[in-house]
Amino acid sequence: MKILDALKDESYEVGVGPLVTTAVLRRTLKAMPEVVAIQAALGAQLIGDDDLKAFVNGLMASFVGGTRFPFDVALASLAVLIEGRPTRFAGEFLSTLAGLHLQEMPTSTRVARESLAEHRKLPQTTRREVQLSRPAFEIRAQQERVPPSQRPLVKEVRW
Amino acid sequence: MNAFGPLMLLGVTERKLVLATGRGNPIENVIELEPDNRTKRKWAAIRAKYPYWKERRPDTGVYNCAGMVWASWRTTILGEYNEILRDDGFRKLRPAELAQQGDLVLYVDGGLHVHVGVVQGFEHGLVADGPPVPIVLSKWDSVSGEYFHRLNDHPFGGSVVVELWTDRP
Repeated sequence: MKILDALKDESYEVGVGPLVTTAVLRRTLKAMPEVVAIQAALGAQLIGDDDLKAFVNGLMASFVGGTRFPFDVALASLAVLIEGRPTRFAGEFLSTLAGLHLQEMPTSTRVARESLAEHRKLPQTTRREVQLSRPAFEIRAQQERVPPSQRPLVKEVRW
Repeated sequence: MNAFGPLMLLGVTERKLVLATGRGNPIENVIELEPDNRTKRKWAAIRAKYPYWKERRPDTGVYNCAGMVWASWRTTILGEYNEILRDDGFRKLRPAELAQQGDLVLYVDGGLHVHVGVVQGFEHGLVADGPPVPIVLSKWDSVSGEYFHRLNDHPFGGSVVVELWTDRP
């Protein structure tokens, strides 16, 4: 996605400026026009978690152990971008990145720790699927209408 | 998160120092890698906007501003500086008090610390009888070089406030 690729540009990193203390850097990233534009695209569902996943996979192909990861700031920006998204991808991305302790990726991991703390403040919506049976008295009444020879083996439902 | 799967196998590759404040509270830190070419290009682009900076040392890894000031150029100090300032006995300069060499310059944005530098000397200000303007030594982040610059000639946004601190009585 072209809109995400803006995070990889060197001019974007120049715009971010010095990689200062984490709280201030997180605020700076959040205010970057590229991040604001991507956030708007996510809000309008022009892009979604699958695009973000593909983007991260593309970035990580450049990882080489022992050298500074060239897209560390792009990953940090992504962390800030999705900290307010109540999706499974956002939670997994942030908790995995925050759990890494790699000298190759010092910026994104520390930003992700702050973003994860923000993400955990989101209202937790849990979806559970529940099968509701009919109330016992309805079942009993139905059974009584059926002749005894045709009644099921379970004659009474206890709650 | 599949993209990070192989990285999790690397375990912990970051290195840190045992570092503490004057009162023995641990200081979170990490020794950073040297800048790559991409990072050097980034800093060349930023530096081009500030013609009055004087380089003391070219782009280098390992330490950041706070690591230069409080950890002898050996590591990158993470987080806020409040605990260090308190435990190491620093105080803000009084309103009419002049800075001296060795005092600290803190750049603060919305109550959060952005950067710390050290007063290295003074230049005449624009007004002949005015107070001298501090020249500060700064390392802007963990991959930039070190620069001498005027107090307000910094790469941060307009909302940053400058504070002078000292460990003098």
